[in-house]
Amino acid sequence: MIGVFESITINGVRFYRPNNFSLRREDVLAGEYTTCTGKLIADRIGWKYSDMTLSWDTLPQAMLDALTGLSGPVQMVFTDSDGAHTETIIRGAFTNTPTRFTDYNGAVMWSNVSVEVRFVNVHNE
Amino acid sequence: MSITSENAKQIRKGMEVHVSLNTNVSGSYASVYSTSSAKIVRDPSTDQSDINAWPWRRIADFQSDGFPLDGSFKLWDGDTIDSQTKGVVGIRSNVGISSLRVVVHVTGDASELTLRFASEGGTIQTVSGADSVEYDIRETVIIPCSGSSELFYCYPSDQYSRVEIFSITPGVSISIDNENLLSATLALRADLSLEKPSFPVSEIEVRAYWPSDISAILANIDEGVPLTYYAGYSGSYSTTRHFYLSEPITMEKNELLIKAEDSSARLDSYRVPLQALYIKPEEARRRIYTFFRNIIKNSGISLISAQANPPLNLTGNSQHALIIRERTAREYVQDIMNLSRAKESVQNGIGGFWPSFVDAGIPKVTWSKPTAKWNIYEYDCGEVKRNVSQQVTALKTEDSFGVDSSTSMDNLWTPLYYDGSGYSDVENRHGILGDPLKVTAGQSVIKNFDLEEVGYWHQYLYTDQPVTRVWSRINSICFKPTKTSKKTGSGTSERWTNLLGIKGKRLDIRAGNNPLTKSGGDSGRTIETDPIVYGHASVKYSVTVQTWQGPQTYTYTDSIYPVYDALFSKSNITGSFLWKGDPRMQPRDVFNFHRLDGTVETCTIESIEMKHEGGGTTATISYRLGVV
Repeated sequence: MIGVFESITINGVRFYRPNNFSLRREDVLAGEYTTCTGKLIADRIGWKYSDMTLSWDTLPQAMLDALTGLSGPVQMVFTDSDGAHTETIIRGAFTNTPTRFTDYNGAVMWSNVSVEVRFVNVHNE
Repeated sequence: MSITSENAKQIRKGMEVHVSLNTNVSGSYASVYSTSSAKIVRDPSTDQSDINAWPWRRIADFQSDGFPLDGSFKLWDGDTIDSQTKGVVGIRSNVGISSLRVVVHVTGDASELTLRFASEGGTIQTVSGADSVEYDIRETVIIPCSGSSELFYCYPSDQYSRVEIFSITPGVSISIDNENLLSATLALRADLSLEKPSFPVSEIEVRAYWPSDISAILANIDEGVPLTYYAGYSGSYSTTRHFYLSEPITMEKNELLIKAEDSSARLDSYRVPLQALYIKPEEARRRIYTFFRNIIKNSGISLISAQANPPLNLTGNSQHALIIRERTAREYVQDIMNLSRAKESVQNGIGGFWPSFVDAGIPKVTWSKPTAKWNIYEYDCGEVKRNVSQQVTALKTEDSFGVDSSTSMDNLWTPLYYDGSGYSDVENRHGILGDPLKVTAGQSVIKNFDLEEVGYWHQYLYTDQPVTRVWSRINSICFKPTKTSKKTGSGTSERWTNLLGIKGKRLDIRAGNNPLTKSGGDSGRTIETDPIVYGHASVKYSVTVQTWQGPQTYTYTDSIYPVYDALFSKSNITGSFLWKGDPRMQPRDVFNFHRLDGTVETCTIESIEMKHEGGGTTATISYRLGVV
């Protein structure tokens, strides 16, 4: 059993926590324009998690299947020092070609898995 | 947090935008008079007409997923009476899937009901005759109301939930805020152009997401329904602007499109009648300002505020006649704003006169010259444009009296409409002046004339007052026997006035310059104008100057309307820029424009195109240099 700090849940399926799983926040701006001096003027309407790439050294076939089967917006749950967070994500493209291998138990595994995810929700608190 | 402090930031917080539309007419009232046993709580105030302005007292219970422990939910206390301070509980059903039966009785004119719920989930079933229509419960649900009462059933989403109705109001009540607003575009307009300016209508266009299809209900909403708009931050909102639907609301793929305009659209509905205003110099500002306000009022526009009348000026010896030609209120409002000016401050001065009417949802009338209200820095602006047109140095018109005509008034009373010459006695009695009058010799008679029949403009002669009643002294009586066969002359007799006519003081118009050129001899362009008044209204003022003989006081008389120098003195420099936008700004507001080179220009806003979209706000502001 893997703990909440060692895992994330995507669309109800628990995954190993990706490598370097470190989320960053970014401001969401609207009404942007550039002044004659090149300055950006905008309204900050909230923040969102930056889009990121989830990478795993190794992933079992079942988890890869769950990943490839994602379509449209799905929920991702992760836990950090603030507690559990639920975010809506949309899966993007796989950024490289995973390599298939069989582990010592005969289970099919994939190495070097990377997939882009886009965070949809904007928080305005 | 205020609009001013946020506007000073490079990245400010996204603004709140609130738009609401309410078709509830005065007198419409909804009362819930019957609910089923599924009802567990009901506030008597649920159907108060102003209930939507009350806070909701959310009750802590264990339905569904329970409630947050953040203090926003209160424990049930049956002794706590709903009020604006305590909040309202609304109607709450039992937990479970049993239906909540609600009968609403409506007085007044309402063909729809707007229901507000605590949360989404569940259904409403209306029962109207044999038809039964089901609606999903959302935060706001609009259902048709047939006749004076409507019966509907509410069903919770599951056996662990209850239905909570916050309010039931007659009419369509649509509230739009940042949660469902797609865009709101305001075009707030004035016309500061030099050539034939016209008072423009300001408009708002709102696009909003609406979860359920209410297009059939929206089809019943008439044009002219009020729509309100305000924006800003909690505790610092702009003044509420009032617009009126200019087109039917449309709905396509859950997107509402609402178009509305300000009340200045009504300026076309009133035509200012032909009349002569005799204005004494001391009351000239007051008379022009009153005339200006009355035009707006007679158009059916309710002003949010109006500056009190200007004080009297120095008393003059004679009064000046101003002939008001028949034109629309829109033409007069614009003309007075363009051409009515008085010196701002001289010793023993006039005190200025700068009549202005701005609507843009906040109709307001003032007469004082505006001062700079805002500071805008060029380094905060994008796409700064500047245009310089050729200076206007002459005005010409096709009017036969030229541009700056004058009037002269005769002190003698002159027959205006009918002097009787060329008509026989019989024609006098039975002719165009109406039926004969029975009169008594030596006494006065008063005859009321039909204004349209008589008229009061005749060959440039004007009556002293608008003619509805004319006084005539009988100067002869003719006797007419009823039967010519009776030689004795006894029997019933009728007595007649010989003449009834209208007299007035002759008012002549003297043609003025055409073209009228700016003094000083500058070269520039000539523009067309259409004088809508003849003559001038003038004020008197004095100036005391120090001379070698001591202080000397000189008195002057200046025209305050029309003043064509006001047009010549307008700047020929205009511009526009993209800016972050401020919902408090109005057309004709004066601002200090801090340029990149350190200079500060005083400018007047001509129009503001403000756009709320995607949570952000920007505005394109066009202006004319100077105080216009």
